[in-house]
Amino acid sequence: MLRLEGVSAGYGRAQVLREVSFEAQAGEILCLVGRNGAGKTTTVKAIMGLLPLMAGNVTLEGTVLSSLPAHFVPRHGIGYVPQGRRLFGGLTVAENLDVGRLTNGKDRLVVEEVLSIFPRLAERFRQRANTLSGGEQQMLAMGRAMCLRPKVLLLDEPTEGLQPSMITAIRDATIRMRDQGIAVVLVEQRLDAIVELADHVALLENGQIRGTLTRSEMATYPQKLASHLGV
Amino acid sequence: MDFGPYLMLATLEGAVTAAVLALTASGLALVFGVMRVVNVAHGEFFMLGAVLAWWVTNMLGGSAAFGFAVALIVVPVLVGFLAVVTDMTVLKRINYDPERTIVATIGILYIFQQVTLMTYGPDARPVVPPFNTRLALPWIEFVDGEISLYWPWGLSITSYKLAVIGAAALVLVGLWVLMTRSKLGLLMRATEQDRDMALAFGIPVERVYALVFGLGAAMAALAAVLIVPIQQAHYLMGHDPLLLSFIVVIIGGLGSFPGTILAALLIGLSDGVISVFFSPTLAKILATLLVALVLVFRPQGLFGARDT
Ligand SMILES: Nc1ncnc2c1ncn2[C@@H]1O[C@H](COP(=O)(O)OP(=O)(O)OP(=O)(O)O)[C@@H](O)[C@H]1O
Ligand SMILES: [Mg+2]
Repeated sequence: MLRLEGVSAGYGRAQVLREVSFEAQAGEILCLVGRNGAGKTTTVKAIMGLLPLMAGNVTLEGTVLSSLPAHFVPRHGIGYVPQGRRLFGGLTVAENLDVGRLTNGKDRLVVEEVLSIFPRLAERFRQRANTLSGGEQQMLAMGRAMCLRPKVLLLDEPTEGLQPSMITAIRDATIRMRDQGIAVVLVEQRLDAIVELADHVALLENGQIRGTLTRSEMATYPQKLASHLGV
Repeated sequence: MDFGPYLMLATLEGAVTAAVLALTASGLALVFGVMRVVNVAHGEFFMLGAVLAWWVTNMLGGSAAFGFAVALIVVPVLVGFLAVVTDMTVLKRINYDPERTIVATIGILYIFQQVTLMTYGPDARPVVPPFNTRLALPWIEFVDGEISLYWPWGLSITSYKLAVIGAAALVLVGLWVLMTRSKLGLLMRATEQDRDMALAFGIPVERVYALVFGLGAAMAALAAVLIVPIQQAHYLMGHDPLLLSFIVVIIGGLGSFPGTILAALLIGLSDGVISVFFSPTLAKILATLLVALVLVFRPQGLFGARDT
């Protein structure tokens, strides 16, 4: 569904990604795994068109996203939950969800759905996003992306720094999205989460894909994944 | 005249200054808030508004009211359009880089000013106000313990000046509704908060920028059309509104809309009062001093919050 082919990208003249290729399938979770600074966030930004590609391309169901202006990428159905949440802090919860809904303006039900998945957001509906707790902010970041009714969901360390109950809420929502047939690309560092969620794992090291594992391979060679995470 | 009526007169004059200043400064604040562009050419959009208002009313002839009504609508649109073109041909090309846009807008300032000098000339030219009835105003006095009204000689304002205050208030309320209640306002505020995330949710950021730059310039032009029947159009008239707008935006707190309005009232009213009782130069000196104090002791502005 979402395919990266030989993607090279970086910041200014500093190249970070070297010929990254992988494909995320509908209804599956692809975990992008790698040490700090491996280039996971850079990969996700490259998909969103927020970085110019030096080589390669990104396609979604055959459409070449990487040749489009960045604001067309979400219009093709890519929902983005960035690392560190990056909410519109001065806007209310309701307004953040409205921004998420921009590309599918007629669909009002989706806000109700998000609020039923994250009831905490309903209680804080008219509150400014930067007054929410960390966990609530992460729910809002996730809800904002869900408002797009995405075909592909990019989650960049969505449980970083959260307490267990919040992690569960985010994880349940992720599974729910997968079950709806969405292709999920999940950047994740925690071994237990990867083992629980991943259908495929792509190992990123120094901006290069060092290998991929399927679910059964993960079970057969658990040490391969563990050594890659450095645990 | 006694002190009381004299103060009221000065306050009313100040209110006209404040109204026009609030419009001009809101345009500057909008552009800075959303685009992070310090638009040094903002005063020239004001000047172009006044000069074009003279040109439109002169071309049309006919009754003063008709010409002025046309100018009120056409001139802000023309100036806004010119600003959109400026944005797309200059600011977009330098990628809205904060430092380079300052240098670029200084260049734009001189281009607009000199082209106006070459075409319109160095003269100050008046625009006839659409209506200009002098309204005498009452003052209260105590006679034998009873309150009574009287009409002091010289305490009056023209109906046009009252209309300027009303029109400015109306436009500012409109801008506030646009920013807080409309979808367009949501796009602008989201872009203001985080440009990359706005892109990542499908907002055409470059189009929003062009629109904001046009809207900001149109606000300055509208302010100028309103004031030109009182002040006359001149190719150098952009300097004062630019300086005062910067003062207002800094005092009000960058990017704070209510702060900008409050600061415009403060500066405009004190400018009126100090100019009448002492001198216009003293008013400018005090305003500049206030900016220096604000920058040292409260850099987020008198009315701005420290967060975001
Ligand atoms: N804005 C930037 N400008 C220049 N270099 C950057 C920028 N952002 C990231 N980098 C560099 O790119 C490399 C990859 O960073 P990236 O953020 O993609 O890592 P990551 O895998 O997401 O790490 P983490 O697990 O810490 O989030 C790093 O060496 C980093 O220093
Ligand atoms: Mg990262």
